Amino acid sequence: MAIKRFGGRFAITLLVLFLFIVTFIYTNFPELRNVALIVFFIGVASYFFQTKPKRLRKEVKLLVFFMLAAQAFNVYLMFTVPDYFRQGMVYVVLAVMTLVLLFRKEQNE
Amino acid sequence: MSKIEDAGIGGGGGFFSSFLTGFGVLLGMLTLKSVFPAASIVVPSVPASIADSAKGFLLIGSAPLFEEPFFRGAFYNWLRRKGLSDRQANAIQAVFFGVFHTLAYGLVLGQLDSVIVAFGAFTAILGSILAATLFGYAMRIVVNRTMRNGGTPNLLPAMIIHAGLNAAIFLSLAVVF
Repeated sequence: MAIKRFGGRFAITLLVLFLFIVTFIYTNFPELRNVALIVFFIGVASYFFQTKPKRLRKEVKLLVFFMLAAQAFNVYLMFTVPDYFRQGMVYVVLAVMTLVLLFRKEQNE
Repeated sequence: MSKIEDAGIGGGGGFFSSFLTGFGVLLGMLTLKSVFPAASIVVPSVPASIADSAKGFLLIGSAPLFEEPFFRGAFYNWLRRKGLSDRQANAIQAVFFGVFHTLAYGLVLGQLDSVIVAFGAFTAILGSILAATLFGYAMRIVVNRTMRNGGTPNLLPAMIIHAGLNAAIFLSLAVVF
């Protein structure tokens, strides 16, 4: 319930925190980088639970499902493939922005 | 204003005509490249450690799964809900896509380096933005074609065309188109 109630603010705070921490990506702090990603995904998950996308059409839900599946593959590559982290981060940001726009619209209707 | 439907996967009414339109776009991009060699579509880089594996192929094919839903889907719809017409929203998302492509892949990840050496920085960057912008604009037209006869917007044909282009470039072992 706490996640549901405070999901929005919690997610935004974590997103800002993540953007701050992501600046450390270009430094040599791999542990900090990994923690930042985990925190980031908790933020995304809390946003998801808070918005409850009931009214999305089934075709859009299918799209979200495939995006999340591809994101799991993407994150796996980020942690296992050398020189892939920065590119993988581009896709993380794109996917999050897509989900936020979809769910915000749904919330406003 | 009529309700603006979010784009999804499936549900479109004109999948094949949309797909054929996208195929025509690819031929158009090839023609553009022959006329203006600096018009490069840079594609995501594949790390050398997985370039020869299935993961490398999947990686380059999965990029459209993130780019199409944002630029042709959520961002375009957000612009439409702000009151912009189809053409205005399409043009803006296409320009953002062109700049994103050039910044993220071309400049930050260094895929434009060889084109910059060949044509100079200004021509290479301009050509890259132009090519990706045209491609982005055409891809939303492809999505719009799935809405014929009352269908809902379907991103799948655009994703397939986009992934096909990326995969073709990957298989030809070149990072610029």
